[in-house]
Amino acid sequence: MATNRDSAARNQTDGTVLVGRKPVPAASPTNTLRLDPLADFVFLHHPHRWDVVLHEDKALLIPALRKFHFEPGVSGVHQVRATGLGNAAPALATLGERGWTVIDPNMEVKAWGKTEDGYVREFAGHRGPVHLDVWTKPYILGGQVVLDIDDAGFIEFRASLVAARLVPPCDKIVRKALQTRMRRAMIKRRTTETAQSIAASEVYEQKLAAFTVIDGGKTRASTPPNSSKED
Amino acid sequence: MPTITTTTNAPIVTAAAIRFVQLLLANRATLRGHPALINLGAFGAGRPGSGSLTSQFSLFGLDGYDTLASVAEGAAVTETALTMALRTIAVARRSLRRSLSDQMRTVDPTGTLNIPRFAIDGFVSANVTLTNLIAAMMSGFASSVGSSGVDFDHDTFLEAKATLIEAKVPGPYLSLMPETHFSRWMVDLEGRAGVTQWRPATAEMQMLKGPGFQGTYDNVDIITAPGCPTSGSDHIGGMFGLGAIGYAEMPVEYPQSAFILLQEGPIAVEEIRTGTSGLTDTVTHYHVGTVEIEDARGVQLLAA
Repeated sequence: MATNRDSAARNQTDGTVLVGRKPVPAASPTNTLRLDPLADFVFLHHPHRWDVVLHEDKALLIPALRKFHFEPGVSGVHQVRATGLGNAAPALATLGERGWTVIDPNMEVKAWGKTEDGYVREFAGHRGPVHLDVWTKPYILGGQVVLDIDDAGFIEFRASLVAARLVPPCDKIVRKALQTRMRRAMIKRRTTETAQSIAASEVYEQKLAAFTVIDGGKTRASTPPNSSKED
Repeated sequence: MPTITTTTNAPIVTAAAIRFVQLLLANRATLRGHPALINLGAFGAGRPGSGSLTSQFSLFGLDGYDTLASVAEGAAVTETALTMALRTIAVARRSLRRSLSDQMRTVDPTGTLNIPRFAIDGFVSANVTLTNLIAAMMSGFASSVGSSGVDFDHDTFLEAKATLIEAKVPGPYLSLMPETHFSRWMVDLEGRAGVTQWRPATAEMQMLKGPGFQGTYDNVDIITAPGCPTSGSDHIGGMFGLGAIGYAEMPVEYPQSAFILLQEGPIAVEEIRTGTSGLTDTVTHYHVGTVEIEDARGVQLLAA
């Protein structure tokens, strides 16, 4: 029986020099991510969803974003028959009707101190592509994947969305409700003596004290609602 | 597709193997059939012969959604329009393939690497897939409790429950959370005084059960689930009541030539023999979709 080697030799004329290629190492934990596959995604924002985060001695009121993965079968994402990937267009149209705004995935953003073209990055995973945002950096430590997160960069990105008017400023009703909720959360936790509650109460207190609103590229302090009527 | 052969599993054949096998760590929680979820398949979603992989259904504001208006004697009452909404659920194909060589099957001293065992593996994995898909939706609720950078604690749990009560959400409630949320809540409960310390559920939450179902607190089923989303360094879970989330599974009709090893409703595991290569494959088939039915029936849990 002819082997592959025999047939390869038969197809060449005498004197042909066969050229080998540099061996390519098989996929290993060092060149594929041992993370579950994550479909491509876009960030979405809803006018009700805001968060207050501590950043550079300020408590910034910034949009809380939803990462909407184009996972076939989830939330109305169709499966493209030819590729098996998700087609999110109908789902995004429905979400748009329900108040969600799509944040352009191709926009220029800053992450890890560098300007990046778009906020989605695809990595080769051991079971398929893994899509992460540019503020999440996977690296190998002791043969395992560790995710490092540029929290400051992600906060600045979210703040920039309001400054650039890609997301409208937080409505005053939502802001008031958020402040009231945080004040309630702070006071409730003060009466509880667990270490976690005390720590949480302090964070809420800091956030309320330095509550800063980003409005049209400017930041301004926000006066918390009168606490005497709360709780 | 890495085939399971004697060469790819060298440690088993080059050293004396003992009859002990341990499952690698994974969260194997299953949500199929949980009463807080609506199985839209029971209402025709994913029905064979429907002509589409996508189904649509309606939400109506009936039975007390609109109260009766006060109308003067002899005056004509104006029409109250029926509030309605449409939702769409799309079913997608999910598969898992294992490939086992005859050689490996023969030398395997554990008795684990065999086709029936892979059929069970496929069935369990399909269940976990649904849990993953539902957990991934927890960041989709417009209302949110907790705060960025703050650990999950008992007050966050109470706030979520209160949010659902205020939104008039009927039970049963189900809370899916990443392990980090649950572990921090557990620690917080341990130090709680007042009424909380005397609740049997507080003690129940401290009992180690492994991943998945952790018990019931205030009638809310607590499940640590795989696939919960993240936002920066924060982790996201969710709590929702009946009617927040639905799922549909499509039972596929296979040709007579298909050798279906195991079929449990819409989940089927097929055996495929390739004698020329001395390989046997198992392929798990599962067609499933999930949908958020009514947003206000759920709340996102955001914590560090």
